[in-house]
Amino acid sequence: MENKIPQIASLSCEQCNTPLQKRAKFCGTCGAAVNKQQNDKLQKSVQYIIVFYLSFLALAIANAILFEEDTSLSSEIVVEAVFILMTLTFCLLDIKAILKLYGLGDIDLKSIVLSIVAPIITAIIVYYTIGWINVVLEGYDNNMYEAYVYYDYPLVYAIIFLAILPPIFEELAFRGFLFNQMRKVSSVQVTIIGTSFIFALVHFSLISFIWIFPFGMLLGYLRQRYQTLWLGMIVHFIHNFLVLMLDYYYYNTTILELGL
Amino acid sequence: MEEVIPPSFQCSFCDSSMEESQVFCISCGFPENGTEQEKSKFHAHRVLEMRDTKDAKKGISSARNTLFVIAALTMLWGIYYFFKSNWDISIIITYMILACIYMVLGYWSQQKPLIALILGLLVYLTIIVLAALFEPSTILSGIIVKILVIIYLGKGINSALHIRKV
Repeated sequence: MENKIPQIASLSCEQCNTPLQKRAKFCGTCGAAVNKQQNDKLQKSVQYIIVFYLSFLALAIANAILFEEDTSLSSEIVVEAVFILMTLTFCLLDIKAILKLYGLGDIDLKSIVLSIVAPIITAIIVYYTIGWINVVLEGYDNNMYEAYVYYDYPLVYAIIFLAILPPIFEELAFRGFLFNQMRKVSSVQVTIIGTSFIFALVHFSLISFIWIFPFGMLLGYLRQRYQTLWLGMIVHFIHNFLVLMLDYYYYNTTILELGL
Repeated sequence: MEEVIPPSFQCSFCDSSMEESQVFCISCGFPENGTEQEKSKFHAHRVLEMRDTKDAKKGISSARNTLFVIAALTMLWGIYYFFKSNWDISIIITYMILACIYMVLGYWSQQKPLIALILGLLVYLTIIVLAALFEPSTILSGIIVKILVIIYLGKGINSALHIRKV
């Protein structure tokens, strides 16, 4: 289905506006190469992909420098706000295709059940295996909730920053903008692999890479199969929420009791 | 479709069927019904194009070799730091995962050069940035090699775009 879109867009020659035949590699009237016209569009998409990633890299540098000085609620809000603004700016470049993804697409009952069951499984597997790997390699396991306990309403902020905002805006950025751009230069399979790879890379941790990469492929598959962002957001939310709740539970039962 | 086109109209360069009204062959771009000047321009252009394609293939394979070289260097650094840090297992695992990523991307660039090389470049830039965040002085060590790697990968991406082997 998706394959047809680029062909329809290039059905007439850009140089002399003569309609092009389907298998045409050159315009029959002026001789302009069809390939070359498409190449310029491809180049633009490739530039978007690289600039998109570099801006996230820049944000990560700013984040690391900011958090070295002080960890406060205001700096967390600033970084999150910049991330949201950046995502929205990129989406403006391709707004029509992005807005389509907020429709219901081909959602059916089966896909909704899958989107609720799958993250419960991934959350439990990821929580315990990554926790175990961290203990073996680093000697301790990171507790995400712990970073929030110094705020006034730790659970509220932790839920907002870890379970609500990332699913909304990461899905928009990676399964929306990045997916659309990469789809213009490659096949469906390559796009799912490529976007998951970049999604895993921006988390800047090689250990997390091992699980975020396949998790991203699940999200990419749902985006492609059902042509909507909603399922990805559900999966992402349930996964993050469960992991956070497990951290919350273990923080209150284990870490506090040990008096650490 | 085929029945409408009279068999007598064929491109004299690539033998594909043509419509009488068309000046250029839509398969190879040969100006069948064009002037002599246009025809010689076509031949000259074709020679240049073939050279470009050959250069592009070379560019892709240099970029691929660059990925393999980085993979090997990453592995060696991993072993070096592993022994230097008194057998810290997390260091060797980190470096080996990274080396595997470069290697897989290198192999993948044989089928899908464009995306594989873009991902390779992004991984490389990320590692430089992460290393510099931990230890700012690392950004200057081996700066020439770093620039060369980025140039080779960038050229490879451009070449992949050029021959549209996406």
